[in-house]
Amino acid sequence: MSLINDIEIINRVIEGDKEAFSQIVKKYQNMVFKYVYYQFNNYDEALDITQDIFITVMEALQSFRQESKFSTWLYSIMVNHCKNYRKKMNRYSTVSLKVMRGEDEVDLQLQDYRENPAEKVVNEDSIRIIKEEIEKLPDDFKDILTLRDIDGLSYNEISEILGINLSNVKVRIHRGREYLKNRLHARGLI
Amino acid sequence: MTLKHLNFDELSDLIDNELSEQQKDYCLAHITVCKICCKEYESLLKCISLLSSLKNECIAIPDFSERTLTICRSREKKRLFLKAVPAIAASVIIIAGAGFIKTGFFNESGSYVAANLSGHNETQRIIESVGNSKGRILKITHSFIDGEFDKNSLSAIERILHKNNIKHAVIVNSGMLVNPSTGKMEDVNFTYGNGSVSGNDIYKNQNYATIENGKVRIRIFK
Repeated sequence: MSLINDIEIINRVIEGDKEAFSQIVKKYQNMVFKYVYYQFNNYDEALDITQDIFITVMEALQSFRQESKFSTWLYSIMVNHCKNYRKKMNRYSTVSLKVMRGEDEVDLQLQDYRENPAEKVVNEDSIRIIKEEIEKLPDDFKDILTLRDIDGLSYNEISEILGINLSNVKVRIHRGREYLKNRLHARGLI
Repeated sequence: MTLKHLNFDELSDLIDNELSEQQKDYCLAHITVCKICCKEYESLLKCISLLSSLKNECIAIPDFSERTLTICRSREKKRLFLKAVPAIAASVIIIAGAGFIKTGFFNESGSYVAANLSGHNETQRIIESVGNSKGRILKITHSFIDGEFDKNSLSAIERILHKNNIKHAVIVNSGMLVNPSTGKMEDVNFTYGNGSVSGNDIYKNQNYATIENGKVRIRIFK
């Protein structure tokens, strides 16, 4: 679907054809969900947040001035929503599930019985490790690496979405990649 | 070829194709001869390719479109209702206020007089009846009104009082009247001007009758 189609659909929605918004949702739901999922590494949480993002987008559609691509505008809402959600979650204290094994304290591994198609992929270990490491990244690196290396956005788009200048985008990408590479190296993945 | 190793930023920019042609050639040439930089470059390449592989990861997700529309619709309804609440409240207040004013719940001073509403209406009705019969009011109490009329208009006032189902009695010269409720003769105390005329005081009563010659007095009961 082209950019013109996005704008056409949005204009229809603004004019009152709310049903047309379902085309936008269907087109972008995978992209939004994946971004959220890699930010929080939690399937259920990602579903809820994705839903909230689309509601926010629909309710804010009137404020879309069509100066940028719709996808860029959607990305900025998505990134901000995730940031706000993270902030909100940080307000609540979390309890670490630890068990004693001998003299060592280790994380309690809770079995997730939900079927996850990703588990069927051959290099499931690599995927698991990379997901864990993405989750542990500092927030600034997490945002920018997801946008750049997973979603494949250009530096200009990222600059627009995050509201930072191009040189800052570059610096953050460099530092984020360096950080992640060192972490993956420490885990023996690279 | 210089032996100075490439820094991480150069390697990252090389992968993202963010270098000028000259820088790019230099970096690629260096990587081919420097094992350390080559290893570093490959590690970074693998790190990025692992990240990119997540893009193609297949995760089953539900269709958000229907639910999004449903939630938005219900939120819109709720918003419209909340917007209308002040208008609804204002309408209720205006209608109720108009109703109170029309039914006379508030008098001129704004005090509540509902308890006296029926008496007030009846008094008004009697006063109007007296006025319509070209009479005048002599005395008003909580239970009756005394009025004075021309003898000629006696039949007219009685007709009006009957029509309105208002009890009344004509005061005779002796200052007595027959109470329509009890059917007994009663003494009447007039207060007229500064003086008082009692049915027991014949002189004064006669005097009073003399003053008001050609007139008839009627006591109208509320």
